[in-house]
Amino acid sequence: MYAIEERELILDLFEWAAGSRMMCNYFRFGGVAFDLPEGWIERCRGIVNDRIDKKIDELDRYLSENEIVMDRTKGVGVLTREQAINYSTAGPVLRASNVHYDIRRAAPYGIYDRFDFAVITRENGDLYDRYYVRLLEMRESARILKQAVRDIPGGPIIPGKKSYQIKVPAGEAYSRVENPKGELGYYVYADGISDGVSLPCTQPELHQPDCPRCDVPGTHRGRRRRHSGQPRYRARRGRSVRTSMKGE
Amino acid sequence: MMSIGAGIFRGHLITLRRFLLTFWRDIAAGNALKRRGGGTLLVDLFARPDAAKSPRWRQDYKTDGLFTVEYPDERLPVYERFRVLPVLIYDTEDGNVRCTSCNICAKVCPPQCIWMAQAKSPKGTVVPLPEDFYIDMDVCMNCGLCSEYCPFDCHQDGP
Repeated sequence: MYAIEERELILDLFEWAAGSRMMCNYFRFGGVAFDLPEGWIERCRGIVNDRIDKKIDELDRYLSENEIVMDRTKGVGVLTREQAINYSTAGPVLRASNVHYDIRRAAPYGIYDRFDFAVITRENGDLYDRYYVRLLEMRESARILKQAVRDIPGGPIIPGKKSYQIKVPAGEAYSRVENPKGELGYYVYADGISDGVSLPCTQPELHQPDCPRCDVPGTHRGRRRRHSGQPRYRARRGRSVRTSMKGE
Repeated sequence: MMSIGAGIFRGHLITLRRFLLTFWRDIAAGNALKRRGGGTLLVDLFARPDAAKSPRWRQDYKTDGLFTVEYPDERLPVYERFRVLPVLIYDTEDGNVRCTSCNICAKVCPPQCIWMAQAKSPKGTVVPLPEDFYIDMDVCMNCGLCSEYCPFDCHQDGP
């Protein structure tokens, strides 16, 4: 896909600044590991200001009006608002079902309260809306990035002296952030004696595999609903389901 | 109401545009007849053995069209901070290692894949040298913390 090119550029930025494409290991407690290399911020500004918007527009033109995509995604896999909440989905899946919930807005962390962005929601909760929410969120992310690279301040990268062993006071804490797939939460517990902490985490992927069961044709509930006289899908889709059942 | 198929047609136009851009960039740079990564002649269809020596390709935010790097002939630059597996540095002249077996790297290693033993002199006293030094490279996740926190800069994890 063409979006891989933008991913390549973004991962290049990661590699340039932090040394690794995926596992950046760039953050430290209270700062970052290295200062930005020469020319990094100019290139980042170039990507954010001059490139990303055009490429998102291209992706939008390429896919969003495509009849094949629309035919195969509109009305498929509908998660209603109640179902989405009950299956504890998170992130774009939840917002595509018309739930106005984004942790960056509901419980702002970091400096997200200073950015101007909108929480994207869609009404139908089908596959197409889940795609389109992600596309519109890319635009919102580009908006956030533009404000970030415009206002990035200079200064020391990490306060104090580097220490390989950090004394963690006893206590516990829970914190959550919005990541591309939804809510990512970490519960941290320290006993104050050793330097170890335990980190149970909540990941959105843990909850979301459950929810496709409810409405995908061919799965158990999809079949039962069709037999109980609630034609959920149009005739064309219903026929394809029946063919697959005959083969079994 | 849009006519049926207009969206597909528009998508194909984008594909066509990108296909043409791939050639246009080479033509605009005067490299239309040249093999990518090849030599400097006007019609140069064969790879030179020395063509791959220097990284000569750089994807930029202005790059439009083909992003593919023809790897053996073209290479991307390796960044200064790029990390791979850490190794223990020793002096090429006299073979001495810088490590004093202080164990900081083993403590800071998140998957705990560094293991070392301190050397002993024949009399039994402690010598600040590693007797054994192992990095389990199956477990190592290239985080670079060992070289970052080493007080004697005795690891190296990049080029």
